[in-house]
Formats: sequence, structure tokens, C-alpha cells
Amino acid sequence: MTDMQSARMHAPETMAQFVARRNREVGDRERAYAEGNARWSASTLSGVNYRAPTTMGVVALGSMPAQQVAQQRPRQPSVGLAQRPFPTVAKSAVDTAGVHDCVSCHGRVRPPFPGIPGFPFPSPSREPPITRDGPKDPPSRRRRETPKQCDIQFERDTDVCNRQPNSAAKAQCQSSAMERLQWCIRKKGEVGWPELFTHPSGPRR
Amino acid sequence: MTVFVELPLDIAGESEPLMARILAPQKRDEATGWVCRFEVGAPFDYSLDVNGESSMQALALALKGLSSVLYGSSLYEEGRLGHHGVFGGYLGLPAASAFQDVAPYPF
Repeated sequence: MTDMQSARMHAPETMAQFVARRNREVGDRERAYAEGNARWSASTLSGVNYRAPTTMGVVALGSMPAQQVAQQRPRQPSVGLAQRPFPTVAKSAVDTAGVHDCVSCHGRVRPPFPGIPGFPFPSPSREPPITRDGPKDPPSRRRRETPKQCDIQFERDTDVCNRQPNSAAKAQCQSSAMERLQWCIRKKGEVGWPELFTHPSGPRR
Repeated sequence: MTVFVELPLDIAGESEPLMARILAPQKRDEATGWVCRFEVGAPFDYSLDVNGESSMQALALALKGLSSVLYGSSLYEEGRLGHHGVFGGYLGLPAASAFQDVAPYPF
């Protein structure tokens, strides 16, 4: 008790000064957060991110679009326009440009951590995290035309087919895998039908 | 990879055509068989590598896959996907068996 009183007596500021300083700091943090939040919302709602044609076009606060990041990297040997591939389902934006954002699959998310360059605003704990769209927000994800689970099923089926014991079995299995992809798309993502053809002595999954 | 065949499609209300492509089948490096990729441009931005034991099978399966993606799309369901200005009908390629009820254009 004596020690505490002593510490308070020798503190460089009074309790009133301390409270005033804390209030100022909290106020500054909240202002910075509100400003950052507004910028994020504006970039999302006004077009930059909402209309980003791919995840590569999503701009994180204080950052630059992934395309610009990619442009700043050493140039790859160019290919003709007709030969340039579209983004593949297996290639993630992270692989392409080192940008961690999955808006097209997971919706709008809070930028990862305060304190990282490019993410200037702190995260007051009393604010709810921005993890999903609110009821009045426009959808932030692009429309996906093919259910993801169909692609996953096809990938697994292809893997099973490649491990069949002979070419005839592989061929029939691959045809069957495509049949399953068709039906999965037709049934809006219902997987597992029809059964995948496999050779009796080959792997089934 | 070389573009083997290409199909421009119309999207209602859009000036840019939707490009659907099948690339030339290629022999697989790591295993026996062939692989054939098909791609559908924006707004689908979709591509898939389809395996086959022969180049012919890979190509045929890729065509089936492409057909499924197009005829199975919500754009087609909504009658917004078309070919030569005709929407919700024949898209210039046959429809896979699973889609015969909505697109009666068999292989």
C-alpha cells in the first residue's frame, strides 16, 4: 500500500492528466479506425473491389492491386494473346502475386492485422469484425458459374482414374469422371452420382 | 498451349463476347495419356484440364465439359447466354446428356 502511494506520488502525471491522455489516445484510435473503415467500405462499394474482375484486382487498404504488384515483378517471357491462358481453378491469387485475399470465395474480410504496413488503422475490440456482408450490402463475391465441389470431385476422380491398372480402365474411368462432373453441374453441386467407374483391381478412391 | 477451337458467345446486355476455347490436346509429361484444357472467359473465368487416354478422348471429354459448363450456367438458365444473337437456345455446340431437358441438342 505504501509502495503504491509512493508510486502514485512520484508518477510524472496526475490521475486527471492520465485519464485525459487515455481519452485522447482512445479518441485518436477510434478516429483512425473510422477513417480506415470508411476507406475500405468506399473501395468495396464504389467499384474498385466490388467490381474487381478477379481476386487479383482486389485492393487492400493502403496497398495496390495485385496486377500492379505483378507488373513490378521481373517480366515473364510474353506469350501471344491467343495463347495466354485464363486463370485456372487450381491457381490461387497467392501463387500468382503473393496477395492473400479470397473475396470471390469467402466474401469481404477484414484486412489481416493492425501494425502491418499498409494497414494503418487499429482494431478497437468493441467493433464487430467485418467478416461477412451485412443485409444491406451488395454481394461482394462474384457469381460462380460452376459449383466448387464439382471441380473438387472431378479433380479427385481424375486422380483415381490415373491410378487405374490399365489404359482401358483409365479411359472408361475418365469418361465416367466427366459424366459425374456433368451431373454435378446439372444438380447444382450435388456430388457422388453416378458412381465412378473403376477397375475391380484398381483403387476406388 | 495452342488454341484449337474457339466459340464466341453473346451475353445479353454486354458488348463483349464470352469466349469459349478448347486448347490443343497435349501429351502428359508425368504420366501416360493426354490432357486437353478448355477455357471460358469472363465473367466465368473458368478453365479445366481434362485427361484422356488418347488425344481424341481428351478432346471429346473437354468438349463435353465445356458444354456442361455453358448449358449448366445460370446465365443460360436466365436466357442471357446466346449464339448469333439468339438467347437461351442452341449455343453452337451439343449439350451433354445431363442437360437434354433444358437444352435438347444431343451429341
